Amino acid sequence: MSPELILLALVVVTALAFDFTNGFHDTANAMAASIATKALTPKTAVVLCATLNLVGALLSVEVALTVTNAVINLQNPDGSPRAELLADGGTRLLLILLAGLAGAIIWNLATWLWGLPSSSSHALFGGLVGATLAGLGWGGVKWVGEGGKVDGVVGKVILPGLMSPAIALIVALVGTSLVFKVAAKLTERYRTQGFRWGQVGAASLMSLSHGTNDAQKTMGVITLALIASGHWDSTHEVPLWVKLACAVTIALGTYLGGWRIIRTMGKGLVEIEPPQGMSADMASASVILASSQLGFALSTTHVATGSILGSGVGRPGAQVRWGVAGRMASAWLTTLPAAAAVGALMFLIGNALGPGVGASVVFLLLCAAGGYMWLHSRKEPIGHHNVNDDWAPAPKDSKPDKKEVGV
Amino acid sequence: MWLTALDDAWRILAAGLALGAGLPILFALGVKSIAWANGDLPDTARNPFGRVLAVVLFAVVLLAIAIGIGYIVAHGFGYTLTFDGLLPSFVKR
Repeated sequence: MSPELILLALVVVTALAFDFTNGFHDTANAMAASIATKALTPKTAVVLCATLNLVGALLSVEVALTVTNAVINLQNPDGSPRAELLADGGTRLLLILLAGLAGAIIWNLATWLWGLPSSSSHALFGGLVGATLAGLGWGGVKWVGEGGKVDGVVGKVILPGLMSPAIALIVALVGTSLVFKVAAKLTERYRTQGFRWGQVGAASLMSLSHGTNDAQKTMGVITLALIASGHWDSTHEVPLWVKLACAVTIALGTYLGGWRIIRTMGKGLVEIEPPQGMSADMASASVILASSQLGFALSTTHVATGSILGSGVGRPGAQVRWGVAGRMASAWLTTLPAAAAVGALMFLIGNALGPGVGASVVFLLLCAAGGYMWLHSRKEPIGHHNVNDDWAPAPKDSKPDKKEVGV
Repeated sequence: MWLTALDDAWRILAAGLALGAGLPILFALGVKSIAWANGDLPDTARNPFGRVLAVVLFAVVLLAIAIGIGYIVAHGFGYTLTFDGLLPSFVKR
């Protein structure tokens, strides 16, 4: 195999690996509340979520080829790679994609190990920004939108990152406090049984919406790599195999379930009662769909976390663990720069060693980092068996304070 | 850009409050109506009308969820949801 072909193959495999981490990182967004309130058993929840993600990913026929255009300048407005990047057979562009994806995966795995819900799209954008900075310099990155458009790193990442948790928190707070007023005189049976279906409905909406949005990002990246290396030429279609592979991969990732993150979101922030879980999930689904209608790029993770927090603040007498929330917020702030740093480092390593060898080394480094973190996670495994254990005081087989788990 | 973003944020907050807080309240009222129909509310006599009310309330919530699913699916095919008067309809983006 020629170095170019090795590079392309590695980009495709790495992109699918990112898609997989995207799946299990985000199961919690849709399902953490339903699992915590026992509206669904952990296993049913991941099966439902994975199925809807698969359906969602296959449903979307719109092409998300211009996904990288939000933060970097690799593509023309129609999605084709910029001409000057094709002079070397697209090698540099492919290496930027590979390094960016590697940065995103490593940050996704690290935050998973810490049990922190961080945004997969911020990780992807971060990795790509870092790799582009290293590969093309300051001008390769789109920092702000042109002509008042909400675009670039500021418009697509930073502003939504600040606004979306606040909006979701307010909505869920208002919803929860009113729902508890309505439900005040209801007996326990109505409270636990009655609110189940509303919650499952909202959680399903979120799963479907996730499938249509997130799988497309990987499809866009893979198709960009195929076009840059001359293996595909349409900017109006994604190859069928790319679509199928991305849809199946994100569904498998979702099915695996990021139990560490589900635990933090479902049990760590607040104790969630069924009326609260329903309010939180309906708040999330509404905010996500409303912003999708306006083309505002917010992160499902931030919305879901904001909603769960809001539902805790809104419930009379609920205890919110602000320490956990603070740790999450710090993960959000560091996602973009951290993924960017890893992405940049990966590009420099890959670039120094040449396309074929360099890309292989980057890929091996990624595998090593992933394997190390996976092994580390086995020391205190969290799965469907213990995901709902009491947060504190920690029983023997559950997860102790995450500060001790560092990478 | 800041103003556009703030403008978006207000709209999302408004829509979020209407749907994200409104629907849970309707759902909670629906659950309460069933309790009313079954005579399970303290100091309130059993009233079969509660069941009718519950059906109406749940139907509204279900309709909203159905429109939500329709919206997601339509977006995947390059269509978007508009409200012509009050009737939702799908148009090509």
